Amino acid sequence: MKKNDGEFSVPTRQSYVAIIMILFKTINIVFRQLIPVLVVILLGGSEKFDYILWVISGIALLSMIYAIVNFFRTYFYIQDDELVMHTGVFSHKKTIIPLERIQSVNFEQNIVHQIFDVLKLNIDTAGTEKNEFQFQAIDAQKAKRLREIIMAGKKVSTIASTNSYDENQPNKPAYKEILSLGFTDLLKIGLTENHIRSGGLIFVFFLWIYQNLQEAGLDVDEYSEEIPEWEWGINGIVLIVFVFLMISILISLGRTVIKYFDLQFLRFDNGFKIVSGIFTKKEVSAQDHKIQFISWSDNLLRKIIGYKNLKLHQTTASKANKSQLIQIPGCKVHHIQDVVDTIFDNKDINEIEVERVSFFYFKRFAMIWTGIITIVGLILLWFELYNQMWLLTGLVIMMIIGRFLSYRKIAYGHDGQLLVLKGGIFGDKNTILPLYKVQTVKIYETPFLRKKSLCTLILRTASGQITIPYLPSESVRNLGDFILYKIESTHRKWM
Amino acid sequence: MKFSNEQIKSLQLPSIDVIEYEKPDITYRKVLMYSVLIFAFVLLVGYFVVGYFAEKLLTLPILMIVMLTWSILTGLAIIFTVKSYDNLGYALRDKDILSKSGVFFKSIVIVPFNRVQHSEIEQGPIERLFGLAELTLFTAGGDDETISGLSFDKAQMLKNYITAKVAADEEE
Repeated sequence: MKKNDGEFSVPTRQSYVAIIMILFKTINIVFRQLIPVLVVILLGGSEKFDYILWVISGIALLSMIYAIVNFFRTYFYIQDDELVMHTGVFSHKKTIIPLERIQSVNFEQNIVHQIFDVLKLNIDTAGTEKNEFQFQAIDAQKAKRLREIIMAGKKVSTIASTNSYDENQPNKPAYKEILSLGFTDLLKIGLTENHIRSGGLIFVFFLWIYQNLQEAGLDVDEYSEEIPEWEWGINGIVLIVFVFLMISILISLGRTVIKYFDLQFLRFDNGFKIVSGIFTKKEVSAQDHKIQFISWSDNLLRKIIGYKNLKLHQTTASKANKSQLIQIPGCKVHHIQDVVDTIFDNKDINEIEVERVSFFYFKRFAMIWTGIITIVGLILLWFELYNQMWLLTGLVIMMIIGRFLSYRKIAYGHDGQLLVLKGGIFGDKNTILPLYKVQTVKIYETPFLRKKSLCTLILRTASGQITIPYLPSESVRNLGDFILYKIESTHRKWM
Repeated sequence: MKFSNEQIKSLQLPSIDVIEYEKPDITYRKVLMYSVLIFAFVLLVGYFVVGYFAEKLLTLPILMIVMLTWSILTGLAIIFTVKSYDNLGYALRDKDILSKSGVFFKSIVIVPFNRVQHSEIEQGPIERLFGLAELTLFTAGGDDETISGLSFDKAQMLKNYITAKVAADEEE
């Protein structure tokens, strides 16, 4: 039928580089599990060192065998418009996917891939099955041809005898650049990240290591006994906060550069494509019909320099698969306008009228937390833990202020087609959801909400849920009725 | 397909407010109660087993307090169960199914048929004893919706109805 089909009609294996990749991956997984054990052994003296060496070589050898067997038992071919894959090391598994069911073919390239000119290939299907299909390393040219055949097969297979599918075909997607990030953009993005949050994450990470070491039977406290008893004065807290902030800034700078290096945000005829990464070149695409909703947000710092973080929420085959959420940092207002215009047919989002949520959204929260902090505060006072009391009170006051700011921003509205949800604390957050993309509607009330005749509306989509809190019951029911009407009367597929 | 886009006044829309909910099978209340009782007795037996090794637990004053707390909690749990049964309900409409639940924290979930991917009937051991079953509807929205306490035939009927609706929708 198509001439290039021939290439893949015979069983095709991955590139030999795949052996290295699988080996690396296996060893990586094994050693990650063993880190606490290794730390203990290295710290605990070297009598057992020989023994450990044997174990390590054993693991390495087994991994090597595993990788080679895995390589020889993994192959695929195309037969009758179906992609057939054979996998499995201990058991044999044959998977058949009709080409038309394949949603997208994504490439990934880390530094090793780049050296050998191979690609990691992910095949994403519409099914709810958790495992997508992955090939560790396929010759770059081959992989690209495979993708073309798969993507074209979806169209061509219906018009059977369209022959010859050559390189300079006219319908090769033309890419238009929407945005690309330079090095200074990356610096700005890294510097303006939410450092309080990442500082917290680093703190949790240290805590995790500490606990792991303890679980592994290592008494960390014993090692730190020489450090004099630490006075938890205000100075100490300020110093710790400062240190964590500095570390956090450095880490987020590094992470931003690595992740978003040379980012290009491109548009092709019916979707978007994002290419980025320094060590790992990542390429992800999102077709318009797969995007369930989009959102963009900024924080205080980014608001000042006018950068927004755009997120395209795609259907996720599995809940755990985060890569389906596409993030594009460093978008300016006009970039977002561009994207909105393209996906939503030049609708003017700003014209949609929005309504605020009930004041109880703030009041209730403030009351509950004031109650909690009063009780906890009194208990701490009783035990004369003054510093802890001030710290906690400060935290709760910050939370309440945050809630107030968020209350001021939350607003929702729709124009019959699109739902707009605004929010944010210091920055702004906007979400746009086409009503017909909703999967199920949930109306939720607590005893308190019921008393005030309020409810919370939860709209579940194929890419996460959207919650609109504390609305008057009547508007929720009307909105719910309308959304259901929209879902049930729209024949457009949500995907 | 002819395209139409007539305006709909919100008052003309079918409202989820004026729905009469069907209750689950009355034997489901028994099932719920038995589950609570079984759990409560397992807890009690556990206590006595521990008490066999730590005799202090079985001295009279402590035993009295424990038994008292146990009966109060079990009683409350049963009242709560009955209440939660009273608040369960589902309603079929032409194009969707509604299901409500919750005693203090109430919720209504509406699943349009044209978003259902597939459905499943399940029977737990106690349910099987009483000939009951539950129907779960899967959508791409994650959280699956389960309608419990249906007689097996009813569950089968609902499933068939929904499957037919889904198929009809796909043909359009």
